[in-house]
Amino acid sequence: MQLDSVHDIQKVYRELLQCMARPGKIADTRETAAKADLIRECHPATFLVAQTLLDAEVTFHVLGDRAENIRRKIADYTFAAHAPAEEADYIIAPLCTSEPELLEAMQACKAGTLENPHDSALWIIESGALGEPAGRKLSGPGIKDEADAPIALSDAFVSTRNRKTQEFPAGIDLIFTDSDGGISCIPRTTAISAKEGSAWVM
Amino acid sequence: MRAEPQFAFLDEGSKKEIRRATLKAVAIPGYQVPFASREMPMARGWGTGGLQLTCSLVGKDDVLKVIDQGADESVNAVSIKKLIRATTGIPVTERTEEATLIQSRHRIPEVPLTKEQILVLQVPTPEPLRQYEKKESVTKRLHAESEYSGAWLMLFEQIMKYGRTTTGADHPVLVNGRYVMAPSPIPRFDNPKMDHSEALILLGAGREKKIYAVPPYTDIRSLAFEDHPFEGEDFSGKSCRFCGATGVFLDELHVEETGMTEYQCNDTSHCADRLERQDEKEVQHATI
Ligand SMILES: [Zn+2]
Repeated sequence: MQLDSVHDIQKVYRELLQCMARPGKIADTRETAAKADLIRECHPATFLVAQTLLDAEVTFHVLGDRAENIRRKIADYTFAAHAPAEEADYIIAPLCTSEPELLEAMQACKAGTLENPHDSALWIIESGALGEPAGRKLSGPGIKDEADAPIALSDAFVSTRNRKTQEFPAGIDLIFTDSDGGISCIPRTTAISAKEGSAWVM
Repeated sequence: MRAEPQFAFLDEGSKKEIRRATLKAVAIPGYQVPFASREMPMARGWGTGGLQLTCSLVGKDDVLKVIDQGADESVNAVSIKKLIRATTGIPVTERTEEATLIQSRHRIPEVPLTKEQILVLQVPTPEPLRQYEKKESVTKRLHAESEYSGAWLMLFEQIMKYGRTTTGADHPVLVNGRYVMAPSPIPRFDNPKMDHSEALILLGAGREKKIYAVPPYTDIRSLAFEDHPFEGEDFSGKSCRFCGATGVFLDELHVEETGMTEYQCNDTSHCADRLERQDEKEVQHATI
């Protein structure tokens, strides 16, 4: 079955919106993702999110060894232009991206300004299965009391991300995708706790 | 070949742009994200901002409710419903519980909203600082610097002059301890419904080209002073003349025949719902 660019994309958007509004929530887009298995090098859900948000009016950047092929296909499908990590509106980190490369791009990417905090990069990060015990808690707007982090995050990742969001409202927002159509978000307002049982302090 | 009419009126490119702005709005609660407002088949200021949000959200499985000043049958509400129904074929409802999408002007329904629902509020004037600062470049800077002394001064002057704040509707709120936000012209009575709401709340201003949001479980405080705490409209000791409801927002009216002042629910669908239930109860009672 072919991806319906009106109705399937609307469904993905609504899931994405609820995920952004409820950090830690994991949406299941498996059914739609099955129709979006078009780029071998990335998760179908990654392609779905790109299809939902990208067009010729925005730019994107792909990290990792297989960037070239993903970049070409996303540009073909969405007409968005590729841009350096420092300028891109959307940054895609495929599963194969090394942590040093990801963190370097995260340090360099757009976080917006206090006047225009929306002029910031939105990240699409591929991960292993969402919803496995991750050992961290999330809190902040959209979360009643506390939520489990959808995915295990390294201390280096969390500290780089926290540095990038410390001048709120400037900051970055993260979308995670897994190979099974799972989507989850951590916007800039979310506080990520230290790993349970570790002495690391935010 | 005739082009097929677009689902939910807007072309996919326009929806995409609104969706991108909406995600940012949710990620930065209370911040007004600019967007390229489209021409809609209604005059701006009649809910085109809300309507564009609704069009960007709506899908084939949705059930829509549209409220205008508490009523589902006003001209504005009817024309919005017509447009959505004609371009999507989805059902509309008056019952708050049945709706997945609720577009409203001037009210938040009396029935508490759920996490499965999204509330879209129409906004004529999104900038809460506009009353004392005309320039957009300046208000943007004031928001950037959290410089809200002007907003406080405005309320303080009202208290000095009238002994209380005189904002009827659209009383400014502080979102997540950061942004001062116009909640749209809802009565003060409805402001607390935004605080830690179960439902996502999206606000759209067509003329001013702004989208902003209140995510669920977000701190919303109405601006007030310690010695002049925020108060909603007070209906204590009053009840609806039809359904008897108390603790809801009531409209005051003068009844000619009796020369008395009476009250009735402003949320007409909530009132009708209550009446229906009371009828059912009576019928059940009668058959026992
Ligand atoms: Zn009533």
